[in-house]
Amino acid sequence: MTSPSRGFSRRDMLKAAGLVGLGSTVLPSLSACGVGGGERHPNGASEITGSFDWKKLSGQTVRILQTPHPYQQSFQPLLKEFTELTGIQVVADLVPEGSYFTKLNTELAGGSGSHDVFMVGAYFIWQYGPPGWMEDLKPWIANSAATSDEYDFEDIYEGLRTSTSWDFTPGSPLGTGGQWAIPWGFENNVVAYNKAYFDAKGIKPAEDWGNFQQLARDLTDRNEGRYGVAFRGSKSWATIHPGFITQYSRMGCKDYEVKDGRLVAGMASEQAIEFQKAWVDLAREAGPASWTTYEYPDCTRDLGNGNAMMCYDADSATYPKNKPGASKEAGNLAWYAGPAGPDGSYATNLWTWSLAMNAASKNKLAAWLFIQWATGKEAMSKAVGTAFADPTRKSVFDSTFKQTLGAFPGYLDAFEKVVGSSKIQFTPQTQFFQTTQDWSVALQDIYGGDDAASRLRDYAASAEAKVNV
Amino acid sequence: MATELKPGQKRLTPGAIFADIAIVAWFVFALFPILWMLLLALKNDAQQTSTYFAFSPTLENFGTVLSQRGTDLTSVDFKSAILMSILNCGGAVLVSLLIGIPAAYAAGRYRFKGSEDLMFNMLSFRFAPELMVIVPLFVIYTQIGLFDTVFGMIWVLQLVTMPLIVWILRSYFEDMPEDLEQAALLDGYTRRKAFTMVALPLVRPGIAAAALLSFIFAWNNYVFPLILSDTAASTVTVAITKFLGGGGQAYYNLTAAAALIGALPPLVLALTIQRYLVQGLSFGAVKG
Repeated sequence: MTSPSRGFSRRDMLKAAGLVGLGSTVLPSLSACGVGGGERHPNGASEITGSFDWKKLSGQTVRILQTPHPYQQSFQPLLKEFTELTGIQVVADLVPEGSYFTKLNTELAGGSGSHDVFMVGAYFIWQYGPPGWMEDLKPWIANSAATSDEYDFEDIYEGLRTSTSWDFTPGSPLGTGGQWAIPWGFENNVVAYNKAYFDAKGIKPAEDWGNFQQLARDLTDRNEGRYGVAFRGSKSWATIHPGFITQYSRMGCKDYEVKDGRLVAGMASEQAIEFQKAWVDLAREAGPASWTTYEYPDCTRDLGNGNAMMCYDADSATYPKNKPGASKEAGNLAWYAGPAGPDGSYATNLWTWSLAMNAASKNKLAAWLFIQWATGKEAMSKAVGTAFADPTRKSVFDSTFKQTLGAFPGYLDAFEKVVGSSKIQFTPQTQFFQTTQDWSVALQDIYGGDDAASRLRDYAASAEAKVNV
Repeated sequence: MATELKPGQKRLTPGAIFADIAIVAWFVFALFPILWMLLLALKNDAQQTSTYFAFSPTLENFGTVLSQRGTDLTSVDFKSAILMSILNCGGAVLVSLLIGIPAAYAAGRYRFKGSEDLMFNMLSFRFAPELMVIVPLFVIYTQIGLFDTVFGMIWVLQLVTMPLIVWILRSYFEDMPEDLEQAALLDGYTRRKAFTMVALPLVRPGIAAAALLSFIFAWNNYVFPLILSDTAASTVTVAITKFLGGGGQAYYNLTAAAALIGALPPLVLALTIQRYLVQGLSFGAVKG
């Protein structure tokens, strides 16, 4: 008997490398094409006839895919009320934020319909909508057999309704085409600041961009562990979407413009370069020391710990830090809209966690009843009494939510100042995540010493090529 | 004249001092994440990100993780997640041992056309990124009803446990002198009997080591239970990350407490079979 040869030859290694290379190229391509999920599912709204009845599907079960969030947590105790109202059992699966979209993407690409309803952000519609993974909810809203007379879709802020609606043509404005999700909770990107420190030093929040930069620099004292303003800087699309794109838009800059049916990148215009250079300089001189790793938990942590004097991020991300006992600076924080643009613009980018229906769901009416209930006035009013931030309905904001804002100075004023111009400030396009992450890398490179103008020109050319494919 | 050294005593040289400092530094470096996790698990919500070493320690986080509040936060009963992990990983290792030991023996003792390719193919399960194959696996699992089932998890974890067990045990069988089995065959044993009564008892420490290693790898697996299960068959790794929170409310302290609790079962298992493990890992280390 001979013993087998051991170890790998060079040829084996080359074969292995080849297989891995081939696999890593082919399989993602297949999955991007929707392997297993290629089938287009017809809209189910027209099948619902007769009169509206919450109890129509009593005894059935609806499965929800969620990620932990104050929105989700405030609704968790109310789920039994939905079951009492409809007789439908709710199975809510919770997936941590860092892995949520990996799981959701796999499920939708797999076309399984294992979850009927899922939480989704507006930008994800630009990726999940075109392959037919999401149900258009417009026919459901319009169908009186499926939707209660009391639902009042128009009560949801217009900027939110349009942010979750699109016709899937790159560059086409939001608000056209189907309604792919119903906004459930949202957040405006404004500035939270350490009011106790500001008051003690007699400082007022800066109302314009020039003064804001100067104030942030003046507040910075690295020896005392204090810096002016926290905002995100990690290699991620999420670095661009909060404070950065908000201020970028207020300064009158554009990401893309449509010319002759093509998207033309605007990140390398003179005005845009000037702003972005100033933004990076601000990060270097008055931002967190390790800015290029910063994500929102880092920014809000520094605000809560008293290291950051201001934080330009989502209002509902900074909001929890002011709750009694939640942070060192709890009770000391306040909010304002942030610096206006040169023309007084308060253009603000929003994030909305919305509820969407899986187009492959086998239980579409139950799914719609759940979405309708969760985004309805009654449930939302109850939810905002606990942990819910920024309800999507004007009636709920004006009634229940205002009463919860007493201990959050300036929150209401900031909200009311920006809500009229709060919407998705990006131009919708299907390569959003790739091109926007590339944008964050360009900012990091400038932070690392690259010339702003040439780096942004390179980035703009590369982004333009990608979005016009 | 140099002092005579007693047995076990080392001469104090600059090199030896440097080596000792380097070892201590390495231990501090290697153990620091565990220490940090322990400290974090003992902090309350307000102190979790505002303190380093000076804080008011509390054991409350461990209670929260195992309590109804923990379940409310994560929608998962953490105790059930631990039991599910034991079931999934224990089952996966058992199946891999039942199939893998004969496979490793055959691979170690026989060479046939394509045997190396077969072994290489099995090893490729380990180096292929899981996310690369997860979409087709998800489709298959949902279509044949294995999604979110213990059986499905045991099956998919074979991708983790089987290659480890087969490859580790193959080297044990190869290192074992073939003469022992030849002697048994001369004494009238069948090949099967020679395998079960001669070869198998000799590689018992190796089996323990391979089983433990593959159990730990299966226990730590995250992607398969994340995608291929929801609540019915989900494991402790997925449950731990659910404590991270979201939307500005992060519970790093609860996550650290959950991670420490989650690390206990493999740790206990490793300590229980430590004797075999040491033998197993050093088996074949000194060869002519």
